[in-house]
Amino acid sequence: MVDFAGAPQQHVVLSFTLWLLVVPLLLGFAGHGFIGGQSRRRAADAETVRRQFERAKILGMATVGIATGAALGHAVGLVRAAPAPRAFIEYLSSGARIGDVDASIALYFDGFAAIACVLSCVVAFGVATWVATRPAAEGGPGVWAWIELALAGALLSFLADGLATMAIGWTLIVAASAWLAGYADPRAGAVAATRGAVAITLLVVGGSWLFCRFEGASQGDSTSEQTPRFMAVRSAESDAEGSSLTLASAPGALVYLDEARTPLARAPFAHVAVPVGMHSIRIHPGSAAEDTVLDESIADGTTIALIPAGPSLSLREIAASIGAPALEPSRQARGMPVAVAVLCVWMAAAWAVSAVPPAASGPVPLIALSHGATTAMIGPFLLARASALLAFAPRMELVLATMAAAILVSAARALWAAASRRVDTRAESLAASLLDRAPARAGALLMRFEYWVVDAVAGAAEASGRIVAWAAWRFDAHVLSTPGDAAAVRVAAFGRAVEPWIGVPLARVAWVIWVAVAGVGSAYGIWAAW
Amino acid sequence: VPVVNASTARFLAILAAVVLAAVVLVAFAPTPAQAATSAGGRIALSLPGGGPAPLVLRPGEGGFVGEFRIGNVGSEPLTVSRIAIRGDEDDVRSPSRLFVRFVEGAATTATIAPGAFKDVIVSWMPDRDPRVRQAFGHVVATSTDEGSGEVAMGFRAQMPTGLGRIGDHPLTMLVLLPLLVVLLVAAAGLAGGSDDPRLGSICVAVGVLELLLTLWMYHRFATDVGRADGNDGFQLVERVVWVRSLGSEWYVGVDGTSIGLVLLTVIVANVALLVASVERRGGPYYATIAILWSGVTGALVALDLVLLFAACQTIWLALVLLVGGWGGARGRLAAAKLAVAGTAGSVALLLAFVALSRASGATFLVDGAKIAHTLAIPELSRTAFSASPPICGMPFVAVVSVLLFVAVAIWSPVVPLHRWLPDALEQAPASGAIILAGAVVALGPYLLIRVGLSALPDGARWGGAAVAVLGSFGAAWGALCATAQRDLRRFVAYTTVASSGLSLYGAGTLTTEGIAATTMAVFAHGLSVAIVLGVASALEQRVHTCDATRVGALLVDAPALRVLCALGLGVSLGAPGLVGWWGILLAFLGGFARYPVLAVVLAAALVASTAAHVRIARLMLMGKVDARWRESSHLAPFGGRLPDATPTDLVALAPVAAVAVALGLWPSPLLSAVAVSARDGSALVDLEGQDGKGPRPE
Repeated sequence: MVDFAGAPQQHVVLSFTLWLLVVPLLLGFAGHGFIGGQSRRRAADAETVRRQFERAKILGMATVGIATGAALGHAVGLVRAAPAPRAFIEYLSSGARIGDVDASIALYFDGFAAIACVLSCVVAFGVATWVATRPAAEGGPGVWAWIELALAGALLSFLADGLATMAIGWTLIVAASAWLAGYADPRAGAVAATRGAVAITLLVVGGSWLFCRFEGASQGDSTSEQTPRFMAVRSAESDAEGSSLTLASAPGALVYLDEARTPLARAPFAHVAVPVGMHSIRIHPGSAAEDTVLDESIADGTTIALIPAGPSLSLREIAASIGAPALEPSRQARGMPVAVAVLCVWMAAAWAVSAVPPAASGPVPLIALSHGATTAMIGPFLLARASALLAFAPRMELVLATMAAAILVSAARALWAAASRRVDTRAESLAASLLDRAPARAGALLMRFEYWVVDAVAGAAEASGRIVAWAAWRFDAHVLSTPGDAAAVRVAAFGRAVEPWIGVPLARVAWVIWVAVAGVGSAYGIWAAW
Repeated sequence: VPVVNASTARFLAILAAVVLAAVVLVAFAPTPAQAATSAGGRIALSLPGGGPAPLVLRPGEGGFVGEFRIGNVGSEPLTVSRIAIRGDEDDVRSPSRLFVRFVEGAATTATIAPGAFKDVIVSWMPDRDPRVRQAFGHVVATSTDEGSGEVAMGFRAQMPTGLGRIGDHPLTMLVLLPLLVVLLVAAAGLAGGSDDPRLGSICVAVGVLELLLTLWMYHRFATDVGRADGNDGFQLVERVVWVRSLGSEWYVGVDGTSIGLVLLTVIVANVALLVASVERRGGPYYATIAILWSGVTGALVALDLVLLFAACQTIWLALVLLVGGWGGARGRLAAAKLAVAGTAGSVALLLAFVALSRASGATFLVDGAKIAHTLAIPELSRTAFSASPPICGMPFVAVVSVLLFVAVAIWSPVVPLHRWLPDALEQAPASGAIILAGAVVALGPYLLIRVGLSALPDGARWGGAAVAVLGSFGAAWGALCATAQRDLRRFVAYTTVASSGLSLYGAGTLTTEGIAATTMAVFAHGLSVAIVLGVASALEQRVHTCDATRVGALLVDAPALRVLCALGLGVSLGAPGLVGWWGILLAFLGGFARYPVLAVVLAAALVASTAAHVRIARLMLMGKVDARWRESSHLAPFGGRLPDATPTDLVALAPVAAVAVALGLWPSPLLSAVAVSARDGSALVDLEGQDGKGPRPE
């Protein structure tokens, strides 16, 4: 067993309330969609519309309020619980395990997530309060639905325990972004959506790379390693008598002690009491994965955390895996190029997803603030989450920090311009200059770079893609189809020629032949069986 | 006046000739060579009372027991040196806890006097809470009768299902129930009422019955049962001798790969039937749909090559009839193209099946009869084909793999053999198009897994890389072509090509994750096709077109259809949070280890696919409605607004959309079933896997 006090699993508390941050928002989004659909479908009078808008306002304030309250509550809980438990985790859906892939949706609330969630929620709540004070025409169901969608996406991204969950959050964010950008111009919305899809694809590519190459799993000419490896780490805490076992990963996994036929516990679980002594701990992760057996000596007053040491989609587990044992030089050497490559791919993803569309074109200008507090933050947040990989590539720190700061400054600048619909570059003092003008100029520079370089490249790529697609389609329709078309024409002509001779349509002949053959076959089978 | 005219007589003559040929082919096929007689003791296995084999184990003694007899029909004493359950730890055939012994003396050896017999007791003592609820296998006996060699008695045991006879034969019911519609239509036709509108309602009722039966099967399916648990990892197995002279059996069963696709087929068929009921089709149309549906289900559950081939032919025939008989203006041409593609694919499939069977070794039918060559897919997986003699100077494995892949490439379809699909999908009636793109094309990747991986693992090892290359480039090609489409049906056709490419890439990686990705991608695409083509059908009903550029933002007026369309496009795209996402993720995770460059190609295909989907979504779901539509004759009766989804539309499409969302957030019900069979498939083709067939053939 490895003596280690830094693995996040050791400080995890299973939560049953984290869903309050996300689920009410999604339900509210669906509710607002329903209200909006109703008002669209029926040509209602002004009073009915007003009532619908009032309902939308109440529902919106309730959902955003619940999310904000839950975020603040969990953050307070986290602070009060420090220093021992430092994170909450909740599995929304226990998924299947295929090889090393854990297809579950889990929420993880640690310090990073707490800051991001509270910030997003507070800004969103402020914007929601402002929207609620506006005339009904400015606060229709659509606006509320947008706020809920963007906030739910951001919170899901911040709370995601694994990359699969994070991708779902990003998708909601991209949908919100495209909706906002396409409010006045659907084409701009389509561009935003495609850009978001590129970001999500990069996220997946980076994650897959990390999954497959990190720790040497699934390499070479052999098939994927099917045994999820676990290791036991001993907590430095000894706060109680007796000893206990914690497994905050691999939901659904069954843990058996010694030769017992009934499981000790089903993951995820925390601090399940185990007798002191030498034990054989068998972990059965799922039907499509092999069991892992660990022989451990458990002393009095220790907490044993079982953590996965193999490939994983969870950055938390990867961080634990990197941090738990001392890194061997060979692993260090093997991991470094992968870590650098993955970080580069994710930086591109962060840049792509954090782009702020011309938010002021939306129904309510101030909505851009909420948009900024959600969309612009998820890219840098990914880079912060991936900081564990810096153990392999310490020189990437500066690049990462610069990148994250650039994205944030760029977003802040765009937001300011969008929200106030002006660009005020006058500075009256040095402090004002430092606080407003310098960031503004830096932001403007970045925005120009983005508009003139990134967008130009993207435009060129899009044009090239269209030309290639058109060429492929023409080739497909006029070259690849030629042999099949020629054969089909001959067959059809043959059919036309033969049908008068037979006297009935060929289709009927085929039909009757099929029935006859099937009938003979079945009859013979029944006869043979008897 | 002649009773029949000349053309009818010719038709009847052709029919008679075909029937006669079929009878001759089946009845007079060469039977297995009889064992040479010897002067010594001769072994004969039989059941008490002379009933037909296999031996059925009945409940008793805390488990299941049954007895059969080993007799000596020779003139000298016979020594039975060994009786045992066929299989061992390295080649698991039957579930564990099966025992066999002579009744007298409880031994596994005996000496039998001439004309005498001895009883053998077979028992199966499953656990109190068993995962495997059936036992199929053989008791093999070795004796001094060298002429007979090793002989076998088949046995089977079935735990009670709670549904009586239906529960004992659920898959047969599933395959044959749609054919009830055919009989009804035939009866209605004889009574002069083949266009009776009640036929549609009956068809829908049969669909609901099938759905209930499938859900029951899915509920009973044990997700953690694999090859190591016996019965070759299959569940709900039904196995009887069908055509003894060919060595063919009615051998059906499901594993994790097929159970999900059976569910998909039934879901898609129900959507198609509801759409057809809106189209108000006649009896023959429903009969053709039922045959197509039965064929697809049969192909998914068939574990015998003859049965599988027959199901495939049924599907092609029904498709050609559907597109040619009820298709659009260019339906006949599309049907002819379909027939050409189907014939080419069928020939390739037939040649591959014949070659596989001829190269297989001797084994036993379910009742214990010895046959020289097997047609059962699980038996084929035990044959080391790399040692088979070459065909026309080329390695056996390479030739058969290529033939098989040609068939798969036509079914899937894979570029450049995909051209039949866009025309067929454009010309087919809406309900037929839904089954075609949702369920029929799923059979391509399925054939690759079922036959390519299970029966010919050597071939999978040999051609896995090529499959992955064709898959990834096919995905890119399909996505690129989809960006140029305006018609929703042709768009679906090219996204189908792209999805098939993704599936084949997953299968080609040969990893657990990749093989699971194939099933997930196929399942998700089937659901998306059902939704998108369902919306397309609703549009065609209302405005007689589904051209996105012409329809424009009409769906803005119809919130329910708009949401359904958005969800359908999202599932087709593989948006995270919807069921399509898991296929893409698993394909990447499984493929990156083996083919990172192809994974990058796949990523580019995904981006192109996104552009295509976003373009259609922008045209149809965003923006403002063209004012000319408001005054058009189609919408004028509805106040210039597109009518929203009808209750039938909602009943057909909303549950599918709900399933797509639910499985996106909680994929466990589907993934758990897929996981074990994917692991077994991967282990079969693993270079250092469990089959021990040696290294990759050069």
